[in-house]
Amino acid sequence: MQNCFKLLSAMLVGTFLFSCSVNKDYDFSKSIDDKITIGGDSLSLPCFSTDTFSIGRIVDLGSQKNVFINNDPNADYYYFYKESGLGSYEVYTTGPRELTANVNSYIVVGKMPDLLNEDGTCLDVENLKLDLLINNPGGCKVDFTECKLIGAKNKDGRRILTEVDVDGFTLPAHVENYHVVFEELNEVLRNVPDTIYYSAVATESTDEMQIYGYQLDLKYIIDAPFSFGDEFRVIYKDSIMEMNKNLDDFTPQTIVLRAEVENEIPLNVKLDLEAVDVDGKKMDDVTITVNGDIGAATANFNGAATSPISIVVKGKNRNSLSRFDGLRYSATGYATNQQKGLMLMGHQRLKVNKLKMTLVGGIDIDM
Amino acid sequence: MKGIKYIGALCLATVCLSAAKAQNLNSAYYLEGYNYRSQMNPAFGAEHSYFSVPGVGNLNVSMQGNIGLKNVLYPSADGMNTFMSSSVSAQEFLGGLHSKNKIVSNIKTNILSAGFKGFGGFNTIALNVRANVGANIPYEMFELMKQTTNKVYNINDFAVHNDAFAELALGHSHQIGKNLRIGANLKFLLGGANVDAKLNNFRVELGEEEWKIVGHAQVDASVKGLKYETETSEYKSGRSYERVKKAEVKNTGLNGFGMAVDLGATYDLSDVVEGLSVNAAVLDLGFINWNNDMRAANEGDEFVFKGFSDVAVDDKGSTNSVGNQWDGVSDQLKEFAHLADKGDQGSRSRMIGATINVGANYVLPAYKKISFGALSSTCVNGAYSWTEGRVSANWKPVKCIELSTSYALGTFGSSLGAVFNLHGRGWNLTLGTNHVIGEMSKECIPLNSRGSVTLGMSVPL
Repeated sequence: MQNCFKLLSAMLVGTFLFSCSVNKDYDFSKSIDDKITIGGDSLSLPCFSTDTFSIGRIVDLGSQKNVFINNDPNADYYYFYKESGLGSYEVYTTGPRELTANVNSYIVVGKMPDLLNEDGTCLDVENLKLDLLINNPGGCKVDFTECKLIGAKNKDGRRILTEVDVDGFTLPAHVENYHVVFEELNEVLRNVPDTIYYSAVATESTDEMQIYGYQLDLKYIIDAPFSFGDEFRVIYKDSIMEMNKNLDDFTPQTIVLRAEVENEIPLNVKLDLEAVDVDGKKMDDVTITVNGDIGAATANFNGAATSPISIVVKGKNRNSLSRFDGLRYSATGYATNQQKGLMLMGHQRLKVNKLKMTLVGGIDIDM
Repeated sequence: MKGIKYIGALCLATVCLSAAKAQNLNSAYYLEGYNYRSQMNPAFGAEHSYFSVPGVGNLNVSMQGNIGLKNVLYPSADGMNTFMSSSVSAQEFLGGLHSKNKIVSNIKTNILSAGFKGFGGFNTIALNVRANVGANIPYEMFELMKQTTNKVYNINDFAVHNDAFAELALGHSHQIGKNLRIGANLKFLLGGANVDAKLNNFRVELGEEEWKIVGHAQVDASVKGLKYETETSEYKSGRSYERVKKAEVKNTGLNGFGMAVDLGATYDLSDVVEGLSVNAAVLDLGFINWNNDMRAANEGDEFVFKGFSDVAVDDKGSTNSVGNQWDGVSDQLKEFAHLADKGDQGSRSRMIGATINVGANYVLPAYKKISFGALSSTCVNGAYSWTEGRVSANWKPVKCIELSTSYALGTFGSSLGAVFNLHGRGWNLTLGTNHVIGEMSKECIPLNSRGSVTLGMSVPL
């Protein structure tokens, strides 16, 4: 019985002692972190899609003057076209049997769209020809020698020249609109010049009479469908900024974007992205991985090419993306052998389908 | 200062989120010196006639639940984190929860009571004020908050309840034959306020192709003088709607009436096993008819988000721009979520929640000052139901002192109880608890949601 008393007494005392236990780790005089994280290991948002972007909307060049890429509403394809005079050249005798003139004509290419002015752009276009039209009203034939096509480009204070030797020819006497076709224009255009020069020495020779000067009139035509060579490269750079003010107190950990891109344009597109902070600097602690290129439409245009791509934006640390402000991206359109000879047409379109965003590791919210 | 805000919010949550049914001092169920045993089983009488000390005759404040501060706050090196912090793993937080997370809290104050022998038995009369608050938060709700991922969350039985009423109880217990004693309390209930808020058929489907939320939110508030203050807001589409801004109470008063009974019986089995008796009781079997059911409910039945289609990226003025499509989603969400004043729905009856007690007591034949008891209590009250099994050891070392210690296991986990009763000629003092508070913070804030204190003072005649 005595043991019973002891047991009951111990239970009573123990009960009250237990009720007094204090856990010093719980100290409400200290602050409670008000940052919360929403989202589990992985949360995908419902997908969405963009509307279609036709070439006509992406490469809107028609309104710019002096641009030699045009969209013919009737033909519905892009082509190079320009017809203009190159000037007249007075040819004078320098001796009884020989008259010589230096021909230095130039074509101003005009303002090029930004996407053709980026470093690395290669305008490798097939079937591109320079058609020189010359009027020679005089009675003498003229030999054109030392002929060159020169592409000149001013960039960053430097003048970059691309020089290509072209064949000489003999201009018959008494001709109008005599056509001389240079198939080397493509080589000059590859670096997207500001100006294209045609340089030659014109030598008139006659045994008949001496003429004291007459005029050579030069015109040119560039007219060719915009069809790709296999080294065609076009680079478009831009940025999406000021996202930080919209994200405000939200800090994602890792964002995965997945999409299917439907492409009717006969160009592959490779994306490169870098994260930029609120000061406009590249963020070294944020890695962006792009998996997959956007495939080009195939030669037979039997439907668009559909390519899955994914972009992973990941901070090295949990707080890395707190200063994330946007993306700088470059899209490189390129052709391969498979796209060789395909033409760029106005109705060709690009569409992003099933764009899905997955948040990995949740979003930190500063309450 | 943010910390203070949190503590306030959490304490409010802890106190306010509770349900429904006043619990008596079950630890004292088998202490004969405790004058208010008839409130746990009306077949029990008291040793002597008595009247209570007004206001503190039998003050019972209790809270019990299976979720507490320790479930939602986690210590860290710099202070504390909430369960939503990234430093608290989902496994750590969700592992500490139950399928139904409940907190029930109640206060029962005896304004005046008396017990006396007469009419061939023992009679009691008591005027009590009771307030019950409770909440039931399903596991899926916390899972949705902590570990949101692409799955379907069925959040059923999310409910918050609060009521306050006064009861006038008339009781009588009567010995029938040698072994059987029966008793009953007839209660007249005067309703003060009742608020029920719940989410019905709430379902969150977070698919990869579609997010869908269906469900119906409803608040029924029966408080005299309560009115919802509404304000006019506009959808992005330009259409206007009325939404409940807040509730105001003016000129309040009694707002309901009801009745309930307690029935009980004890049976002495000493003929079979010396010292053994069994007992059973049903408490609070009744209802209150509440007036002025002011209802507020959400307008929309579902919210569906299937993503944005054909987004016009380069044309912000387009009807298909992200901005315009988001406006549509935002309107749909507002329509689903905002509460509209549905007006006075008239009266409604609500059970106050019955409790069933079944027990057995064994007095040591060799030493009758010690007894051992067992008690099963089950509260039947919808989402706020709970059950508990309690064993106790009771000791009466001298005539004027009774001690009891008990251990319980049930819906809210395990708990230890203790009672100290001191009584003599002209005074009776009881101090007890069903649940010792257990762990506390440095500031003595209970970390678990379990604790109760009962103070009883009466004057035996």
